[in-house]
Amino acid sequence: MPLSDWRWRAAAGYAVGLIGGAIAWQIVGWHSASYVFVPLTTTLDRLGQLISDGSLPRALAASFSVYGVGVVLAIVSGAVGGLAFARRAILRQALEPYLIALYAVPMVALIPFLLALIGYGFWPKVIVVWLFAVFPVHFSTQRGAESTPPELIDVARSFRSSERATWWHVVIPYTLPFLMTGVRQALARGLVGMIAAEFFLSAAGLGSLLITQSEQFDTAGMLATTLVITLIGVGLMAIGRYIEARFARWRVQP
Amino acid sequence: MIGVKGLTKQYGDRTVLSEVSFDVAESEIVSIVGPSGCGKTTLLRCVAGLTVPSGGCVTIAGREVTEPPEGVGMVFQHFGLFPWKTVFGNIAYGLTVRGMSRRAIEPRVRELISLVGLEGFESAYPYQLSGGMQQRTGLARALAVEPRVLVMDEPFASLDAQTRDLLQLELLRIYQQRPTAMIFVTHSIDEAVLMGDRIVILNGHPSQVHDIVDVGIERPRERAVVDSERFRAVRDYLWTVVMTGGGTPAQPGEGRDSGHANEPNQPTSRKDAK
Amino acid sequence: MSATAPGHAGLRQTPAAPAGKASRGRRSALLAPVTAGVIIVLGWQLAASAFAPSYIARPLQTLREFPAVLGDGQFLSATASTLLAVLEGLVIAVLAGTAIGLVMGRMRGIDRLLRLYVDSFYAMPLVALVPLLTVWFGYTPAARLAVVVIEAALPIVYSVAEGGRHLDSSYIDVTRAYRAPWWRVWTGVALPASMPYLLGGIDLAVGRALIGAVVVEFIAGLNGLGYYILFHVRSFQQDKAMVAVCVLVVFALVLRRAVGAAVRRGLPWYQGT
Repeated sequence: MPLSDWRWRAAAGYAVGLIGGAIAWQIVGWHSASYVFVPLTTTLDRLGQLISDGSLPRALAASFSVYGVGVVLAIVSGAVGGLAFARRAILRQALEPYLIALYAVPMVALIPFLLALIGYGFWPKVIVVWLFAVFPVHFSTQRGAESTPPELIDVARSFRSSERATWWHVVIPYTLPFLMTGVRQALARGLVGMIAAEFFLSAAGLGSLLITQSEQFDTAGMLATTLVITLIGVGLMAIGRYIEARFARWRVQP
Repeated sequence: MIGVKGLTKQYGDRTVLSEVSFDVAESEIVSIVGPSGCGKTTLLRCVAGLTVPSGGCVTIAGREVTEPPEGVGMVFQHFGLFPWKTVFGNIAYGLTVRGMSRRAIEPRVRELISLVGLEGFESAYPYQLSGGMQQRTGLARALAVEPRVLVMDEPFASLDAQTRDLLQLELLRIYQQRPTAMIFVTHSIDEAVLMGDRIVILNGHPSQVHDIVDVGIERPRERAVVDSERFRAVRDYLWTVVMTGGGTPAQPGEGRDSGHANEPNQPTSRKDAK
Repeated sequence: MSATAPGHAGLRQTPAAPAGKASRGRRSALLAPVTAGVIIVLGWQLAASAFAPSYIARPLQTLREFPAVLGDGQFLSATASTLLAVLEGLVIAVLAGTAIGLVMGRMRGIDRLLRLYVDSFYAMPLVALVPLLTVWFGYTPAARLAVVVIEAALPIVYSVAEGGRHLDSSYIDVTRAYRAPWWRVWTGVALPASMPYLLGGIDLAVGRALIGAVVVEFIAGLNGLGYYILFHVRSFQQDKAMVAVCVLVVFALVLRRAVGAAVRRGLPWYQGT
């Protein structure tokens, strides 16, 4: 049957890519100095070591706690901010230019300032994650709420809905898919912020682990940690896309 | 039931409606026709309380309309259904915002669902429905609040021709069961004649009431009405007026009140019958 | 006489607001952000003066430092260093990324082979590669260039591949009908049709490139804007560092526009936004 034939070829293509990459990894590793690159097998061995000696689990715990708190704060504050800006034009007029300017700052550049102001530790890292993650949520939510089709607002008005009812029944449901798009972007950006923060602001977490490993020329360790980070990134993106798709189900067609 | 007196609406320097006046009696259907952009929708919005007039006023049951009043149900051209609510949820909307309890809402909504012929689709979402079914939902939603007045803005314009014909007859059937005062805006002259008891013709820049025509066809109306002589006479008169801009009120049937018997070939025109 | 009902403030309603109030609206539209800006700056200045140590950045001092910093040779060489690295990396990334992306978008086989890696690298925080790259390239400008190229190329490859995959089949039908040679199909149809995707990818690429460059400069101590900021924050001269941050922001904005404009000029048939 044509459909399953296509599927088989796609799966075969991916499998070849995966196996080919693994083989390439192995071969390049064999032919490289050990501080430059190591074979896949060595990497997986080292991964096992990192898990068993606890350094990877500890780093994961530290990273996820920072990431979790930072992203949740970003989603909540971004959604509230976006809705507030949509509701009160004066807020938007007054503050939007500054938000846009702040969004244009490469957030990494602010990390030294944060370090000087609040120092190392959990909360400075959370603030960095928050800074990275909040803007997409805010802008998406605001854009969604502002673009609520006037016809639907009219429908609500024609039934004498209070403002609260209009927000609850019309604006917020309409805005949800936009919020979810913002959440997807926040998940990605927050992860970048987490790693960057861990490079500079602490001795715990995956980013910090990478720095330590680079200072010790533990390339196998770095590859192992990077592999873990890649898997986390891919997993988070899959979650983000799933959430976004689920809420797009009823997305109003333009 | 509805009184429109000297209704005027301006946007900046642009006057869209000028001194529009007509009445709608209880349980009467008045169709409004006119060329595109002549402010039919603006007129409707003023009646529904969504837009505030610049001059003149609208009254419903004697009370002036300044914001959406009680007892008015509106049906929109593009259906205006909430995509995130089911058919049931959409129909129940007007009752929900009134704070009605779910127990009270349920039987009413179910009754309306069978009235408009949507049994089995209570849990469907708008994106799963055809245009005709969506508009049935819109109609049921408007009827749910038991309105004294139904305001309909080209309700069948977004539907294909067959669905349109079907829903016209559906609406007539529903009207027979629940006679309500209706203002029915449409682009289609045929539709205006089929649906309305009287027809208001808007024309000009800014729009004014060019003429008000008595349709003079009895109810209940069936599809066959379209072939009657009366229907064709009214339709042809409207065509002349609306499409070609010709035919002032002083021509065919001038000066006749609707109370008198009409000549079979000439529709009655009754502008300024006050 | 207003078209909006009470209680629905802030939400758009039909019909549109009347014309003629436009100029008054524009003036009052500036009032709010300007007032807010004044409040923010004043608040920052006062709070910093009252509660924070004297080396914390403050708006007035930062403004005062602008001429000094902009004239400082050290600053200018740092700016040039970062700017050149980012531009060089962007050029490489655009050229290589577009080529790879097109190949992936149009050749199903290669797409399937590479897609796993492109999608994975696109989903991961690429800054995590920086320590590895500093091991390979040392604490050298080469490391920074490598980071910039990778950071910028990924979104471009990803976006162009998306565009190639969704190429309107009617275009291809036309090329087949005229029996156009394969290179014409690629340059004449596939490339221009991928433009919107490419531009979207470039927008992302510029931001990511700057982040990458700054991170490398932080870690490796390379001469550049990033290191300038780090150095001056550490030596209690935050106001000067703030100036550098502002310059970075200007870079980001200007670069995005400039690269987009350059790509569009190179391909003048594009008519979209």
